[in-house]
Amino acid sequence: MFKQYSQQIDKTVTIEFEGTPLTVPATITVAAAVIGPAGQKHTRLSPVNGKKRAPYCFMGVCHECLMEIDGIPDQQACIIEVKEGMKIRRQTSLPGDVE
Amino acid sequence: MDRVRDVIIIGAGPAGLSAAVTASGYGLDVLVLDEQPSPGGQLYRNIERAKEDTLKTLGSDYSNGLALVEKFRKSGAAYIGNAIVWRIDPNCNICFSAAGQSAEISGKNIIIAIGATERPVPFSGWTLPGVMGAGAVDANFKSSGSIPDGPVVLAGSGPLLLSVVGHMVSLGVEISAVLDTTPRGNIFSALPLLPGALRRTDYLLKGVGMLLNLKRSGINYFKGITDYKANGSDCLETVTFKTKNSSQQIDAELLLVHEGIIPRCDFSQQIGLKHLWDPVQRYWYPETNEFGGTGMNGIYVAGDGAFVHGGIPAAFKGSLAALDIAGKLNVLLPAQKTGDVVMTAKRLLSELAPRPFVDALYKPRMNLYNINDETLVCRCEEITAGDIRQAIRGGSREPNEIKTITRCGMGHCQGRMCGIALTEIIAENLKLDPADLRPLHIRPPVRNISLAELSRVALLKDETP
Repeated sequence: MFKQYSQQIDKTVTIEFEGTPLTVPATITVAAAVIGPAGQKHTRLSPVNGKKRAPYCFMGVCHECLMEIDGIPDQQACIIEVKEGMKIRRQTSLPGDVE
Repeated sequence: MDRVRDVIIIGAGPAGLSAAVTASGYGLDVLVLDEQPSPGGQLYRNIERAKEDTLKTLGSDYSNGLALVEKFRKSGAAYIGNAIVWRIDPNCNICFSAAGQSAEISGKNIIIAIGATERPVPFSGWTLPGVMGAGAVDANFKSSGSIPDGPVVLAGSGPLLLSVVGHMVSLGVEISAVLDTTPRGNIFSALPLLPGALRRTDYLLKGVGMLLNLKRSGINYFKGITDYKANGSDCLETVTFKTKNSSQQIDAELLLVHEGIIPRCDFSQQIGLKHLWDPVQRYWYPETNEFGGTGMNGIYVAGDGAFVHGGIPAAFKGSLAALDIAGKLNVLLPAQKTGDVVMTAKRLLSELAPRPFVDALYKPRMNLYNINDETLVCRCEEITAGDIRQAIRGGSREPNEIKTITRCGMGHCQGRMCGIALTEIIAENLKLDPADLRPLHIRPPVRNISLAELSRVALLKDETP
């Protein structure tokens, strides 16, 4: 859905999205990495009915970008920046799922 | 961390930064807590690390922030970024989370400066991936240098929409159409307010310039749109919209929506301040005095979080709050305070001159919340307009009661996305004035904090018996 604009070479870091390593600019947000370089259209499934959802406000209000970051669920991916080695996963649990 | 600060400021946007600079300038002990990795708020988001091409694309509206952030960095005010405030108390205690740990701290005063957000308006298909705020795309560009990849449709009304269109054009983004929903009749109600606005022709010319650029760019520009919707199965595929005589459908990768800007009332509502309803721009705002002071001693609201006036006024409002606090803490001589207040208030007044005209010109369309029964209003809990109307038919007439019955507003975002729509739907169905309803309660923790973290909060000593 998104691509990087600048031609200037950024420092990069390597993160893991759903277990796959991915090299991304060092100063982008987790949400930007997922719907940009990772090539994804959605960041989570609605926990009510499993429909795909993506960031709406990009400023910490809508909570659509909640992701599991380094094992901690419900992190706001649009205001958290990537870090070397960061592990990012989508939240896909539905009502009735037992962890 | 244990010492009691003179003032704790929540938010490092124009209002928060300016308040911090002013307060530190008078020798006050200031701490700024902000949820972003670097100061700037939404307007000046990520400004310290902005690349040349970003500064050039966004122009002076953005690059003006560099000077303010630099002044803030030199001011001596303490600053914690990536700090999520999740509770404030009338006794000026604050709980916040940083680096996975929460703590409670105490100030003599709090300035809530958390700014504004795009007005969320439910419409058919608005939960599909690919539908997002127009301002959201600006925010993503500022923080991450990302731009839309594929054809974009922009829809809605307001100066920010025009500004985002301008940015997309300069960034070379493919624009399929711009759907302007500004009611054609607005100009007539706005005209009587034009003389006041003429005191700041610079602002008016800027607006006219944006419209001219849009027309010159050759983009498909549709005016007087009354309705649009997003279609797709897993993500956005097409956008349909109605013009006066026909209905059209276009393919799009992204639909960027903007229906105006509203204050973020997270903390003003959580702490229980009185809120008023603005009938022109149709939003809740906390009741404040000319300094941003509230009914609660030591609690201030500054910037767009008090009322949407834009970034430059927000900075003056932040300064006024800081001046009032400095006066109360006796670090200012009364004469000095009066002089500085008069000067700041005068500059603020000049900035506000065009606002009534602009607010009337971009008054939201009447049918903004004519939402069909199948459309989700509460995105988190998946509650439709039909669910809400059923609760109303069942005898409920109060937003918080309908929240309890339907779960509308009970999810992760705590009603930030559906609260106003809920108010408007109730008002419409029961023929009430929204001003007579009460906004949704928002309760601590106002952000997501794990139970493990909550159980380990370093609380201040409890002074209550």
